[in-house]
Amino acid sequence: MADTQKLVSLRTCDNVLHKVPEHLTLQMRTIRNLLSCKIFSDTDTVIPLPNVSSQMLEFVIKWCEAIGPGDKALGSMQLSTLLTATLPDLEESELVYDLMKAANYLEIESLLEATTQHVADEINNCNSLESVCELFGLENDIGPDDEEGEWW
Amino acid sequence: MCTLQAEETHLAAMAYANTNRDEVTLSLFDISWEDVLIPHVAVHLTLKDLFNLRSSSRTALRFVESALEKRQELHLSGNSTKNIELAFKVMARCCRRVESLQLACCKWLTDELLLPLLAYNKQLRVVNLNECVNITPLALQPIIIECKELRVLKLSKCQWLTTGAVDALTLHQSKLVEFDISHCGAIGERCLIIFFRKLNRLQVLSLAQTPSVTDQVLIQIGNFCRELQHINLIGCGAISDYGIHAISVHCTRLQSLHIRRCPRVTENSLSPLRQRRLRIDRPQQDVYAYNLNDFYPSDFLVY
Repeated sequence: MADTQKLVSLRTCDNVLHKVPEHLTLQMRTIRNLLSCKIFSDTDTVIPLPNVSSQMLEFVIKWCEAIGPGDKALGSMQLSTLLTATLPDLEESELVYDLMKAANYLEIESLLEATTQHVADEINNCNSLESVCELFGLENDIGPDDEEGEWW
Repeated sequence: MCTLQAEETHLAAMAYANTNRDEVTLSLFDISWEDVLIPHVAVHLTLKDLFNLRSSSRTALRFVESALEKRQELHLSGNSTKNIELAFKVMARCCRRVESLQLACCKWLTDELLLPLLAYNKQLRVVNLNECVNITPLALQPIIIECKELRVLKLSKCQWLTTGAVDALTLHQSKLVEFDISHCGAIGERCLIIFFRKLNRLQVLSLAQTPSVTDQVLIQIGNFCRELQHINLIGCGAISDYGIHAISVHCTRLQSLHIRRCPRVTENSLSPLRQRRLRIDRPQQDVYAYNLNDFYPSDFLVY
């Protein structure tokens, strides 16, 4: 099966060429729309992904393999749990943001939902202003005379 | 500042950062606000989360206020935490797309706080002001007149609700699907009779502990509110089997009836409804209740 399945050539922003099975790329609406155009349907054509790095594309492919084409009924919480299980290296916040950007660019709804729910859960787990600042590496530059400050 | 301007301010600040991709660390607010953060992240955050985030930096403040601009639901029912009035002022200033306003038991709420929010949110569909005891009909006026999409209005225990306000509702709001004026003692019978003639789409109705609810009011409900599914008449002591019968005959979609503490309603009118498998809060064992309608009370005396 591996020899006969159609492969789609994707070039990431760091100039790395990836050959990805077509059935996985069909979960990426951006790629799916391009493949429906004649100019990109030729197997020799390379589709550029200027906003996606090699590392991120590998994460995206792992996600597409895990989610499968038929699992569209999962809720946000389930998707977030699947994300943590599938991509344990995603503990670093910066990688989550890169992955969120990639999911938005490639229009992978399930991955976008999973990453955004993951971030929302992190914010929800913060019980104080200090923990929010620490989580996002924010420097509190709001003046002390701001009357509409912390609510709780 | 609208969402687009706030996001562009942040992007302009980013443009002055080092363009070497290896050195630039992607932060949360570098991701598209309009396309990703607001519709997909902020929508999962509670108001508490948003306000904590808002206090963490100026960029976060701009982001949260942009998110509040698009927020469709404000849920503050039962909230009486410290500084809630200040937080509400922020929401009144920022929110522009609110459709569901849940403010039940917000005793801190006043006309002065509520009116600015209502001025910029005329697409409200659900308004819950149950037990908001410190507002007046003045706050209700923009809701009644401007909110043409209003479908749910809850005013339980709003003792300040006047006949004039209900008359205004009759004139401007005929598409209500759910209405609650339980424990509103100042509303007269005539006002209610006229009101229900217009509310042809009503599905859920609560008139509990409203002394002016009589059989005549129930007859109007039966004649004009044919879509009714749930009705709460707990403590409406003036109603009897005649009124319940009128509802029973005409409201064929009725699913539940709350009728406790209505001594003049007996199994004479409830039995047909039980046969229709309606959910009735009064148990059927109460078949020997003293029937005030009966012209021959001796037949019903319990020895």
